[in-house]
Amino acid sequence: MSEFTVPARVSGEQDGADSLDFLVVRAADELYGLPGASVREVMRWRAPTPVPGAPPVLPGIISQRGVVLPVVDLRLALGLPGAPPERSARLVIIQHEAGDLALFVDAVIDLVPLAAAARAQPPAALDPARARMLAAVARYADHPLALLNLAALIAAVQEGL
Amino acid sequence: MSSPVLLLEVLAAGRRYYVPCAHIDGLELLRPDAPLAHDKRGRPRLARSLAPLLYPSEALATAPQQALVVRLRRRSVALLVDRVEQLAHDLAVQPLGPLLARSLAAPWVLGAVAADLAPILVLDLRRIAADLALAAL
Repeated sequence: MSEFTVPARVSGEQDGADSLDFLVVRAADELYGLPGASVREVMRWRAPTPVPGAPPVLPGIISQRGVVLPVVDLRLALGLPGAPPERSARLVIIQHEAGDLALFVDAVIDLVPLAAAARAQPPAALDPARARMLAAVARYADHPLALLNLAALIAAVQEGL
Repeated sequence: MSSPVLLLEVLAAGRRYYVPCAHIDGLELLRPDAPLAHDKRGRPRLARSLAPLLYPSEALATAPQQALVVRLRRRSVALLVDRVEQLAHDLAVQPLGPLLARSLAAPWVLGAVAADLAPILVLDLRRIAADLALAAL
């Protein structure tokens, strides 16, 4: 599924009350963590129905269990170059107060618990547009893992990035 | 979710759409390159292929097509599709949701019907016709 090794445990994690689950996904060659509490389902990629006049970051809509959901291209939402879906591409169904959506990611890697101690503030030197979409940063199998702030990500998409 | 409305299923450039029957004032057979004509009431009639309007990369068809005629106050607009398929009853039209609806370049889509795996768009034909008529002035 991916080139990343799935570790038995994530460095710094503990099963305490401050531990939160994150779904680790890949966009281009970067790893991102989605809050597990917001993830409803992961499904294989299927081409969405394009909606006329929609920006590239919203490539269309899908129907999942009788509900129509907009698809958000995570690469484009993060300012990364777009790419056609790979075999490992997935749609992550996200539940959010602004409305449920399907996030198009290049791969789903793992679901990991991360203790508060393992989550740090995003570096100050980060591009402000990118930093705005991050809740925190962590490590996953020796790779940097950016934990996404879904509300900020959705707001950025709504504002046309 | 809005209440069910009577919808007409049409095919344009290989894609299926629904249009509310209430938006259509007539069905005709027209060519996409037909010159500007007049309708039965003497109003100028504008004819446009629907698919390239929705997706500008779509090739313009040259074969005769079915025209969905929308009569506006000062003119009528004929929107050409490849085929008119069937009437659809009791389908619930779901809104696109604020994330998508606010991002559209033009509000030409009323919502979608969750048919099988791929949703089918429900077009706001009157809005499309009105925008075309305005652009033609």
